[in-house]
Amino acid sequence: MRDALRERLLSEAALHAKTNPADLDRALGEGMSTIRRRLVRAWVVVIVAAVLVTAGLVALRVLLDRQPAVLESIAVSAPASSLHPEAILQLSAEATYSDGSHSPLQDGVEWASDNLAVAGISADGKATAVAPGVAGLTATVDGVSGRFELTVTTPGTASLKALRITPGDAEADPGGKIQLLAEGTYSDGSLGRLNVTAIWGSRDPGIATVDGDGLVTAAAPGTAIISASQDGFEATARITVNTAPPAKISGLAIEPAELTIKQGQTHQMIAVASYTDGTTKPESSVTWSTGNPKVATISASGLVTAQGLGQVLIEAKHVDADGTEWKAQSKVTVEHAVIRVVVGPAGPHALEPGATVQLTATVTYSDGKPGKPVITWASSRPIIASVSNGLVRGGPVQGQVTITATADGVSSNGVVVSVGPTIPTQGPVKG
Amino acid sequence: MCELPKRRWRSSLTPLRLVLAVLAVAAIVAGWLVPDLLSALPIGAGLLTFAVAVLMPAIREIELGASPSIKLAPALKDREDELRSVFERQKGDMEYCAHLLCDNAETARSLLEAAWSQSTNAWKGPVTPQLRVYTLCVFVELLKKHEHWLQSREGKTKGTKGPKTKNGKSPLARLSYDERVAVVLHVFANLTVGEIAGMTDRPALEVGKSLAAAEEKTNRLALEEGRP
Repeated sequence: MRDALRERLLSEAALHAKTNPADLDRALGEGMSTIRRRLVRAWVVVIVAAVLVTAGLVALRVLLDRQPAVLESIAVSAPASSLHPEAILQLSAEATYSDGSHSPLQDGVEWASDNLAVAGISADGKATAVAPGVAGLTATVDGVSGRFELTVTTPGTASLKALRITPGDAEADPGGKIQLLAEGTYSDGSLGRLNVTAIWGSRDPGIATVDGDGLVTAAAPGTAIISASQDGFEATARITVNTAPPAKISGLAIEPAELTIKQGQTHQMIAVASYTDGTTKPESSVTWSTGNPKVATISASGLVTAQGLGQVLIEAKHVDADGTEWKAQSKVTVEHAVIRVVVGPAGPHALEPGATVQLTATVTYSDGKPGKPVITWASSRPIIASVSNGLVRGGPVQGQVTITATADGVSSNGVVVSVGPTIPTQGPVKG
Repeated sequence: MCELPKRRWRSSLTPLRLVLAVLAVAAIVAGWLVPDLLSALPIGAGLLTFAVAVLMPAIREIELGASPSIKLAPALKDREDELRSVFERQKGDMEYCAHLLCDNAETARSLLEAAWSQSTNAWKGPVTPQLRVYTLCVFVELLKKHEHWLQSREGKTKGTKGPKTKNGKSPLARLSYDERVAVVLHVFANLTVGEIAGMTDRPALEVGKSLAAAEEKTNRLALEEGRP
């Protein structure tokens, strides 16, 4: 670029710069304020992050400190340490943890006896004395065990000091049974089961009875005192027999469950409720409905009216006091109905005694077609003329009868039959 | 594309900060050994030390460069003074370039102020001579956007190589945008072809061609103007 042009351009630029001077302070101020905001934001983020990380680490530390304590030992205890044979003793196990806490062990305890000839033990920690001797009973959880030494004493070596019945209070519904346990405490501190040897009795046998082994049977609502006595000691238990809870509906049915009726006929359906006490009774508070009113309709009281040919489900619905909905269904089949029965020949007929005449019945159904239903023939006076399958036979007595046929409740026209000696018709007189 | 100098994290890791960082980590580890809620004290102290004495000064140094002041406000003031000093020295030169590149004096002023503001905001670390090139680059980008905006507003979409400068009184107005940028930055801002190419995202060869074309046109212009 030539110097002259360069000088000219510079002078023009200088003139423009002079007339429009750029404000450096303002530009710098704007830029610095943006930096300030950005740094303040960064500061806040750093501080908040530091606080959050601190909180997270401390929380993690606390959580790690609170790991479950380790089971260190198990202590097994029981109300007594010696039993008479056949006596039962409930053992309990208590765990001691590494943090010094204690808690009773319920589930997951493995019970074992090291001398089954002396005492056995069930999975729930009930020890049963078998024969005199000493047995070690252990409770084990996660490899940690606790031991209890049980002594089974020889019967007759100690005298009875106390008698009690467990449970002392119990409840039962009428008909229910409760097994009571008579336990004796002996002078040597041992326990014995006295169910067999004790004398059991009920002071209120109308409410509850008891058998010779302490099995109580609840009879009627009330409270009964059951006693057990032996060697001059007596113990009692209070048995409360509850009032029987009201029976509840357990099911609903329609009677009949299946029904076949003729077109135009009606039938009364009945809803029957079954109860928890085993009884049944008709249920009137029922909503009836039909699956197809063109086949059969049903009234609010359960009266079915056959309308058209086919099958339909009739449903009964009942809502009990608890709000439970019960439903039952019945299958109804509607068939053709007989609308007319005509017996022919129409007569009147005259028969000699013992002579016969065959009548026929023509049946017409509701759809206009003939059919062959079961037809019942009848004579108004069988002694004059009997009828069977349309065959009319003159009887020994002279007279006149009317023969009819009936099909599905529809009766036919009557055909008159006269029975008597035939009177010769008068002919021409021959000379 | 205007390039900023790379952030130097390592330079912010001074021996003092490293020692403080180690102490902070030691406090956090020690806190981990303290049971329950008591661990909050050493852990919190360690993290707070790390944040306040290590992380925040390091961020400040990366953003603002080294500053003797520990507090933020004085450091910002130092930074502002430093930038003002540099921009003041470059102001005359920058204003010439701005008015040579843009015919509208008012627009040139506004764009130059915007370029200073953006450069102040974007420049990280110590102020080097490269700041001048960066500011010019920002200005050229802003000018290009402005010209595009003008063209789109006026509905002129013919230009393919870049925004056309408005025909004004300046002899440089007869050059294309690329030619004008190349000749102004090369002749008046003393930038090399390579620097101009990097600044305008164009190959150096094309920038050289634009320069040659601009030289030819300006020489012809000078001859024409030299005629009686």
